[in-house]
Amino acid sequence: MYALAERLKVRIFDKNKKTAIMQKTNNHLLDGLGLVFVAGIATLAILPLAHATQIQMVLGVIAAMLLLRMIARRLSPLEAFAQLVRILIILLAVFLSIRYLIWRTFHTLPTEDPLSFVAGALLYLAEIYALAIMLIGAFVTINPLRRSIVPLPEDTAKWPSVDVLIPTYNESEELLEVTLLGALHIDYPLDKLNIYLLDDGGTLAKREQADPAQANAAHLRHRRLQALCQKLGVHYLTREKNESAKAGNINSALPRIHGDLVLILDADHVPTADFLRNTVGWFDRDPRLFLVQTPHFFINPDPIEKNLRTYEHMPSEQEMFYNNIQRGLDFWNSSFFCGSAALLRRRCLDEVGGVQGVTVTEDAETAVALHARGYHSAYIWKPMMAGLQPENFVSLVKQRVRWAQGMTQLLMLRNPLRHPGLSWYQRLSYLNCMLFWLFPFARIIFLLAPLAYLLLGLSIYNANLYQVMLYTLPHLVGGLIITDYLYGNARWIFVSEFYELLLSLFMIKPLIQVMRSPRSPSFHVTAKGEVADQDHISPLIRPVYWMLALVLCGIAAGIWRYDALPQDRDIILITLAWACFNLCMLLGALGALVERQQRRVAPRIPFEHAATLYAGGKAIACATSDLSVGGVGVLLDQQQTEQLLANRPERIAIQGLQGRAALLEVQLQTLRPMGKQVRMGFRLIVDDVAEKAEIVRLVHGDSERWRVMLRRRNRRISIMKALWFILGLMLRYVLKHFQILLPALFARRQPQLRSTLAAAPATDQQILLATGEAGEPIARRRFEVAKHHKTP
Amino acid sequence: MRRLSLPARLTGWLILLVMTLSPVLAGAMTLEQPLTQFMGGRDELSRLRGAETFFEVSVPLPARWQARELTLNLVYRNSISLLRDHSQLRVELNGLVIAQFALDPNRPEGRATIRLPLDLLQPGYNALRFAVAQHTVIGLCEDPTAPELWTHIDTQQSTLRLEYERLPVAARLSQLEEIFDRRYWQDATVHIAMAPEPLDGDQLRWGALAAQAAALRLEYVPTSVQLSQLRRAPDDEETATGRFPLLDYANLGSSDLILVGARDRLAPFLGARWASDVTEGYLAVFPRDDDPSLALLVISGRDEAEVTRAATVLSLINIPFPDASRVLVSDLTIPPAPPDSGPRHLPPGISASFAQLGVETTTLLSPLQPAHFMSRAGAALLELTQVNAARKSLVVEFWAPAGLYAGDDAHATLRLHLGYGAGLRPDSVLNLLVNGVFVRGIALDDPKGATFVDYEVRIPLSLLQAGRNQLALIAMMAPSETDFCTLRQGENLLLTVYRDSSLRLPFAGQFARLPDLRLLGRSGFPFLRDPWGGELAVRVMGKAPETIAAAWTLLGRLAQITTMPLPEALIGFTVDARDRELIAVGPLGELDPELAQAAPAMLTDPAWVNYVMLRAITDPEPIDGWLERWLARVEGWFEPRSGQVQTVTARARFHGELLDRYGALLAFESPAQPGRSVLLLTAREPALLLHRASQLVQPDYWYNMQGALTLWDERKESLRWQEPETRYTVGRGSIDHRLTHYFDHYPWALLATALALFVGLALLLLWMLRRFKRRHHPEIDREG
Repeated sequence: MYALAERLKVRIFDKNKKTAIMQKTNNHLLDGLGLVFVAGIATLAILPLAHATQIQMVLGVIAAMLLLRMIARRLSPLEAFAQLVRILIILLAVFLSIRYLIWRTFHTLPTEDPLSFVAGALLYLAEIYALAIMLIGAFVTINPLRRSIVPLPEDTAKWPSVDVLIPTYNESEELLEVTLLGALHIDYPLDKLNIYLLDDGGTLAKREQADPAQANAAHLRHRRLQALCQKLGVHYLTREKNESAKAGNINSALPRIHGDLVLILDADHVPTADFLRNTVGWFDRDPRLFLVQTPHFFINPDPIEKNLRTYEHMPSEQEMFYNNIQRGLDFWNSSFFCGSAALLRRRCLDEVGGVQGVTVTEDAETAVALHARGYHSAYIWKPMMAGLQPENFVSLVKQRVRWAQGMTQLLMLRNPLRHPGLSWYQRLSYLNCMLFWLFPFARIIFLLAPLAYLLLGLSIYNANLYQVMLYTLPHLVGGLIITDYLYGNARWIFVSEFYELLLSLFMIKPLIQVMRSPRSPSFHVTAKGEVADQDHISPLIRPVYWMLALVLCGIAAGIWRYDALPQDRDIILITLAWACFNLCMLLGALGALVERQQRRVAPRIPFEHAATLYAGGKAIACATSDLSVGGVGVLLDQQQTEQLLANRPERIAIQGLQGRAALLEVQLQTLRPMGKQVRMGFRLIVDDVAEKAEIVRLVHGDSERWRVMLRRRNRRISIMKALWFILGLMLRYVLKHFQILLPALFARRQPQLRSTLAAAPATDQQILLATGEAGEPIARRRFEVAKHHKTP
Repeated sequence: MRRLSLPARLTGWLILLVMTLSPVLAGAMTLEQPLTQFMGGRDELSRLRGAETFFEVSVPLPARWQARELTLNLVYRNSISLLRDHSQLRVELNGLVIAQFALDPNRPEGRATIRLPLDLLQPGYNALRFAVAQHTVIGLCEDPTAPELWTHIDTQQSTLRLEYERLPVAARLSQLEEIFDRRYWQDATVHIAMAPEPLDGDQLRWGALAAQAAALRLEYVPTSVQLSQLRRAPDDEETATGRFPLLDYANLGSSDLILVGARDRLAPFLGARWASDVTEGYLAVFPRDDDPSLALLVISGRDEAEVTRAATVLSLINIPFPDASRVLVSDLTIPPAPPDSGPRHLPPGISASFAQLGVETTTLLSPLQPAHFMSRAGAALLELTQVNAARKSLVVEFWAPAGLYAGDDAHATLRLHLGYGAGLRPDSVLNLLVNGVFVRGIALDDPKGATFVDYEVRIPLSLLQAGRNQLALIAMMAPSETDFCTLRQGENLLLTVYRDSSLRLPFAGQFARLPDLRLLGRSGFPFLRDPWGGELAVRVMGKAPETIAAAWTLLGRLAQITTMPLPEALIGFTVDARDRELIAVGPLGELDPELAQAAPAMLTDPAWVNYVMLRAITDPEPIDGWLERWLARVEGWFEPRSGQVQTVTARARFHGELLDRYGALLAFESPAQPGRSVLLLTAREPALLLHRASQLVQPDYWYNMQGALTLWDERKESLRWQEPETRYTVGRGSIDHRLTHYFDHYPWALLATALALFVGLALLLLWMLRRFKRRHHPEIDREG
């Protein structure tokens, strides 16, 4: 009895234990419930149904998805109900896809002949890959986190010290000056902020290399950058040898710096003033935090956006990662270091021996190592730096090849599934990011698959049109809805397909190389700020032509087959439609590979503020329309224009966002009518560092400007609108391609004509009002920064 | 017809009298049957339309019959629009013209008596062809399909009269097919003789096996059974003549005879000499001592096992027996048979090529017969062809299991590999029919000809029947040049279907709503689930020979369905029917009260019968327990459910028996074993029971029985049937088939269930995500 009483006592009075038992029971109950739900849904996914029932079910599921999507748009994403709706939409899409996968696995694999089997199996694997990416992607983005800004303590003495590291290799002095000035503007106590330029272009090894011209150039660079740093009051660091590329550059600096935190910025990434105030607080709040990553915001279009003129009309291709995926990763404590615009805790870096350098994506590799040690990361979804994207397609391909190779290296050498220390959700998150970069294999298969049937007659997919409508179409529609729902704010549908298809043609070979030899790739710096004097076709066009020819042959063969093999019309129609889709994408590629002229190094950003122009002693009130480090655009009415043309403007006073005005010397460059107004383009005449710093502060100082710019572009449109937009885009710029290609082909036969063409002025020349370099011949692809001349 | 003069008519009558009497005088037998008996129900063919056409009758002639005379009494009518000099009717026997008549528009009715040349007759089937050439114009273009071009052979009034005598029986087991010959002109009756009472279960089983063996050898011919008891002759075995002098043939009728029994029971009748030969399972055939043209087939053995083995072997072996008069069966191994199978069984989910279904590569000709062809379609091909004989249609037969269920719009998949000729008119088409229902036409519209590989056609599963099914391919090919006055050739009207074409049933479970006598008629379901009878018990209620013979007759018919005997069926006067379906046969007075009580009508005094008052559409009853009831309820929230025809019945009670001249077949759920079925065959008294059983196995009755209760009498139009008042479901499906069945019937319930599951899972995931957030991002969680 006594023992029983004791046991009862324990049960009744040990509240903690009781709570633990209840919690355990609850957990078991929930596990059981989860099992029932999952088993029920799995049964439904596997169940063979009559066609009528299947139609009814998929229509019901798709209707539910559309309805939920509509509801979700009206809710705040932070509401619990909105989160429930989000999960539901994801589950429904996953259900449709799983049902498709089961049907695909058991009913459609070709077994007629070995060749068909191989082709069919490859297509099947590519689909499995795409599905896996979709599933893991849905997991990653199931509940994106939105972190607030953590305020710093009132007492600045308690603030940690920060070292700003700006690694550079071959970037121009002008570009670096802007970045350094931006870093100098960071709003942080001076005694706690040290800025370092880590120059890998002027290392001892570079200065003493065998080639005297290059050694001389390195000497010159070394001296000029030293002088620049001295002028700006920042530290210049270099090293003896260029070992381990960017990671080695940073690691060589670490023993010479002593801040608590390290802010790493790429050479073209100019921070806003509030960068540290918005990020440092999180380190104080979470002692296990090793990283605060912020989005990369780009003020110039990537080459595809530039060539297709989409920059101002739709979200940038990279936005999806920084808008959605990093936030999703952040929820799973897996947001990772992206190489720049990130603040790292020095102590943690030291713990793993600095930035990792086994792969060419040193950033993600470092994050894996620190996550595996149990450290946390954070992602603050607020653009606080502005960077430059590659200016031409060659550079873009180089950049993406490096990322793909690096992530593949990581997958092979630091496989997250086997890496000790990572939690299961971090493994999945990293797996998603690494697997994604294998897309070129899947894209190439999707490109060639219809041709396998149309050209070679291989049976790749054993299904008729009816079955495709019943299973494949719902899977695709579900995929479209979920993609649009999860990422539509940052990437419109089919944009991924287009970019990936285009890049795949050039990435497949480097990817195979890295798979064969995972340790071989070396770090290539992405060129920024390149210029080109006229429109031209990218030198990488050849694979697109080949693919285009193949697809056209396939379509021709399909038309012939349609007539000759009436019994196969189902599969012919499916593959023809597929090939036509690929054709559209390839035609789009033709347009995207017409490289547009690029004369301006410093991109202009929208800048609508009050300003005053001073000309001939008169002050004329006006408004600015855009601003760059090198120039400003002003909108004037007709009367104001006439006044200004009579008296050449000399200065402009620009009102900044925080009420601070800047008075700058200007020189009128261009004049272009815009409706009832006239836009005047002025070059900013900069006399000293202070003026330049003022301009940089105006352009780059305010993170709010980037947020507004992003908000303008990152808007959601309907799936159908996005589809028509993309298809229209694909076809719109094809003509431009042929406008350049045909005369060039013709000119090969007629050298005289070619020389005539070469001397012809650029097609979209602006009205030239003043002397300048616009009319001067510039090398066709000049990988150096144009020099700014000061006109007397 | 021109009227004959009186002397001529008298002479005719005299000749007829002599002809009628002559066979009697000569010991020969005479049979006369209308032509329609030989046409297999295709009387419509006897209307000959068009400029040139024909129809054919197969005249069977058993090998044991020596024809003495075969006379065709032909009655026909022709169109009054025909040109006499250019219109004619030809009668051909096995390809030789034996008579011809001018089709005279002034004498539109014709009669003729034609003695068919005996030298053209051969044992087996003889082709008697009626061909016409019919014209209304000469020298002008004529529409060969003009409606006035017709002649009608009256197949009811036209008769074939055969005078024959039986040949001595070939006492060889290798020639058993001559004894059980389906080419006899009359219905088959199997006479089984056994030692006198007491009859036991073993004898019942042996007799049943013998009856099944005979029925199986007669294939589709309805077979009735008679049981006789052996009697001993007063003769002494040593002194008397003949093989079996102790056997009294007096009560054994004048037909072939099957003697079945253990050696010791038969020895008193067949003698010690015979008994000494029976050292194992024993099968032998002899001429009857009293009539050498009749056979005596003996099935015996020393014990029950040996007799059973011998009887089973008799029904199993379908290749020629040993060429001897007797054989000893030492061993028999019966392999397991797929459940619910039959001839050319096609299991669900399995693809079978036409070759596997017994159809070789076949070239089809067009059934269209336009006149003025330069050559008849395929005529040249018939000489040169290396493929199977050219035909006008191709029929693929296969067996579908009963109760096949794979969803309401499930389909079988036909993959055709075929090629067709060039120069066809674009409206040429290959028609596909399943069990006589048109399914699909495939356009043969490429003027250059074409080859289809794996041309896929979906056949709705609802068109398939339990048991035997027929897929027919008929190529309706027209020449591209069809003008009346133009020379047309038909050698291009060819279509070849290759042997690697295939047919596949969908993956399916089996769910059948019982009772359903139609299912029984077509597939023997559920009594023949095990084709060897492993799930069947037969209870014979009453020891009258007629009662036993009725049971054997029914079992013979069941064996014909699957073409397999039922050696593993339990048969007896009292059988343990546990885990088996039960067939009970007996007269009303001897019915098992428990079974009679459970039957859908009480036929014994005091009787009751449910009378159908109304057939109405009502809410369908759920078939399978709580789950389906729940699904049905959920479905009802979304849309009105499709109704089901239900009968409103009134029950009337009577004193006295109701059946009188009717035979009754009742099917119902076993009162002792839910889910198992009982089939009850009964009639007022044993003789009537046997008579009604013999009628029941005739196609006109067998294929028209339906529902849970079928009644019939002498007239086939008397057959009546009644829907069951209560049904039960039997099925063999995996869980997914069961679920598929539910969700095909309740799609909205499926959707609601799915959404409920999704919401549940989403809520659970939300809770888990929030917990994760609380644990890993407490500061953010606090901020909300």
